[in-house]
Amino acid sequence: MDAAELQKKIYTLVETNMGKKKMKSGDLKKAMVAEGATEEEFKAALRELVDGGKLVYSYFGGSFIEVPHTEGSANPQQ
Amino acid sequence: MSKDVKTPMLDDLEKGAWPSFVKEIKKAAKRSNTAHDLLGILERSYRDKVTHWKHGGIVGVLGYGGGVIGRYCDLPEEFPGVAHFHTVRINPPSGFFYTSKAMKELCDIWDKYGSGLTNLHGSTGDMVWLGTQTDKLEPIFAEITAKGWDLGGSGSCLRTPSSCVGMARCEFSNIDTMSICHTMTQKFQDELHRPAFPYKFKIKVSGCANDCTAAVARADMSIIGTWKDNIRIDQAEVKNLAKSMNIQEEVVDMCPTKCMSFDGSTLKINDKDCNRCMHCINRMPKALRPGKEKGATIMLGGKAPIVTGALMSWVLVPFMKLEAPYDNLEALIRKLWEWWDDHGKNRERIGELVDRMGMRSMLEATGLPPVPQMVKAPRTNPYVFWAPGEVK
Amino acid sequence: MADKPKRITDLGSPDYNKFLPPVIAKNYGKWKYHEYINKGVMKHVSETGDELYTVRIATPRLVSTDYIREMCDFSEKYSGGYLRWTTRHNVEFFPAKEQVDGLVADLKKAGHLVGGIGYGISNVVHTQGWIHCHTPATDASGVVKAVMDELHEYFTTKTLPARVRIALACCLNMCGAVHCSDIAILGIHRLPPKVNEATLANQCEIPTTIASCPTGAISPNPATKSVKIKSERCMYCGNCYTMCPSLPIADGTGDGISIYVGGKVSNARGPARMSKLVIPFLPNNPPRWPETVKAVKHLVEVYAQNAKKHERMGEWIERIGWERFFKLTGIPFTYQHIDDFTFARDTFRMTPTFKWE
Repeated sequence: MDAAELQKKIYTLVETNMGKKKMKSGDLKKAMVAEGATEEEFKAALRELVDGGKLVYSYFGGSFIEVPHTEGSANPQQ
Repeated sequence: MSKDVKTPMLDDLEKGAWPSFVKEIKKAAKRSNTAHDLLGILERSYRDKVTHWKHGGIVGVLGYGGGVIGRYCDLPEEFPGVAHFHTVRINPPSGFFYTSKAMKELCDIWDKYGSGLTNLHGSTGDMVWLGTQTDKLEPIFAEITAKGWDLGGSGSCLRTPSSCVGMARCEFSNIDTMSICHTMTQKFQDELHRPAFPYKFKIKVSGCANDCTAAVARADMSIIGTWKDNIRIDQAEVKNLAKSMNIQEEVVDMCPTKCMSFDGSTLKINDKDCNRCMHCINRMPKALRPGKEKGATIMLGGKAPIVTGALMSWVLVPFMKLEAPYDNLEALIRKLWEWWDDHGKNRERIGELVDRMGMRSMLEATGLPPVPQMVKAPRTNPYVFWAPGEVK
Repeated sequence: MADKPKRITDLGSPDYNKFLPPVIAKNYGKWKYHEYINKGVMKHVSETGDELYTVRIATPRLVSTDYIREMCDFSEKYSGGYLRWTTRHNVEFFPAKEQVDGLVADLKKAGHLVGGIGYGISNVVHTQGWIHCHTPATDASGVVKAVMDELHEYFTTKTLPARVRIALACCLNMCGAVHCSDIAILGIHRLPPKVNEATLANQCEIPTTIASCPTGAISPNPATKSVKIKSERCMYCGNCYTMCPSLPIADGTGDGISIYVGGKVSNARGPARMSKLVIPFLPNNPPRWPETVKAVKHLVEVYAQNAKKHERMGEWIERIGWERFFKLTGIPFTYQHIDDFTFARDTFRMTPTFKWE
């Protein structure tokens, strides 16, 4: 699959699920492989997105991929 | 520096013979506002009997999903120095040997950007730098990498592997634990920094069945050195030791397999019955040594209670030769990860997945044959599954 | 970003060979035997005839960079600038034979405890507690300090029948995986989490939160867009709080310490084994946790008086039987001692053969 297209698909999947379901790297991989990407293509695309700062890893009792945001705990009110 | 806080309870822990962590925090507090406010918030916890920390989960360095633990306090107005109190995990050298030069360079970096407080080492084995702020993370990363250091693991990834001192100082070691640990760390850098597993995965390497890294209790993959041939005996040293210890009582009678005998001058071992538990060698290191056909037992599944209960690792491969570059070990680990990745749920450790799906699924996926060493005994339960095709 | 500096990543662990003292590099894999000179000094002898001396001291685990620099200075003066940390938070130096006494004297003069070798109590493996953790049921460093202030002589001078490994984990997450220790000090909660309905919908994914409970105690509460907790099913593991910060479980009265004994990781004489519950609850009583200190000291002393040489605590208990253990220690046996979770049936006794007094 075309790298730019794959990156866009990954980003969209993460973004549309924000607040509803935290996506794990493995969830995204399975979804992208189902769309025709290879595991290697997926890995490279995710790495591009994360190295470029478009997506970040988070850790809440398990590691997830999220759109960068200020976390709740940093807010004294929460 | 925020206003002075009284810490009567912590002050009490400066007294006594055992080294005091409170003294350490106070040393750091002379230079660091973070360490200073740590005293204040810790005293508050001592009074309230609850923690004042909140879990962060998104801070880190660009590109990595592990190595930084986000932490915030719930009283930031009172203790602004610890409003952010993130931890940085640094991957140590295998075996925890250091030069003073390297240690001091690391101290310089940590004094510049953090509280000056650290754990040597955290439970998994990382150097744990306690207490810094989000905007310091990238500068810390740039400075440590410039000096040849990297972050350790956190999150659903390969955690920093660790090993006992092994061949560097221990004559019991049947495998080169430090080399195995280092090699696996280097081979699996992507898996260590970019969490793609269902949950954490720990590798610990112990050189013998004494298991000084507690691999059996603490690692998903426990690599424990052993040997296959005969214990090497130096009968002259046996005679020497007989003068200072009761070999019959302390060694022969305590042998779990009763494979030894001692007639007052010569020690005999029936190696066919020996299970290589290490007791006799521990007691008589000058006279007894492990054999020469060395390798490791590979075990799987050890973990702490969360979620479904604590597990100790069980046998996967009774004996594996381990020689650099350890491609056989790497291949096995990768197959296990693939199976776990296919079936594991979020926060499900590999041992729990075996519990849920059964050993057979894992053995078939990895191509390992079922062998008697895997079980204490064969099943007693007659509810036996047969796969399609097995019934003809 | 055009002016992005080149990032160095994926370096991994630095090559340990850079940090090995020359005598270790030369004799790597050639060590023949070792001897304990005393509780703080051991000697390893190589097939080449070379000797290596190791001097060990206890650290408080949580240390300042001042402390590390002090250790570095000792290493430069006595150990060629080389030093090592052990898996149990001790520091080791490698002086030449003629420097051993000078180093030991200097370390003692500076207030350090030289010891931890052989049969006794080595340093305590432990977790972060109130220093840094968001889920603890007790502190870690403070409890360890209080316990070891009382037991430090077993580190420096006194011996025991065998090694006694003490470890502390401040909650069931057990970052220290203490569950195979001779004495495990474990922080526990005793009350179910409270549901913070005002923040839950915002902070947490409800399906993930429900799935996090190993006993199925959490169910949706559509009325408040939150969750309900069936208290009688909750065994206070805190897993839900890790997944959902709106389910705080810490409680000043509910939280405290439990004590497990008889575990080990060594396979010597018999396989590694898990520690078993002997004291279900002791209160958090900072700064000195007197109940916990007293209990641990008592367990060590009863073991010291009754175990045979080389017998670890679990082996001793297995020999005398649990009923005699509870009698000797005077610890009451309660409902809490009988397992009622996943592995319960494995712990029930299925024989009418007992040792009676």
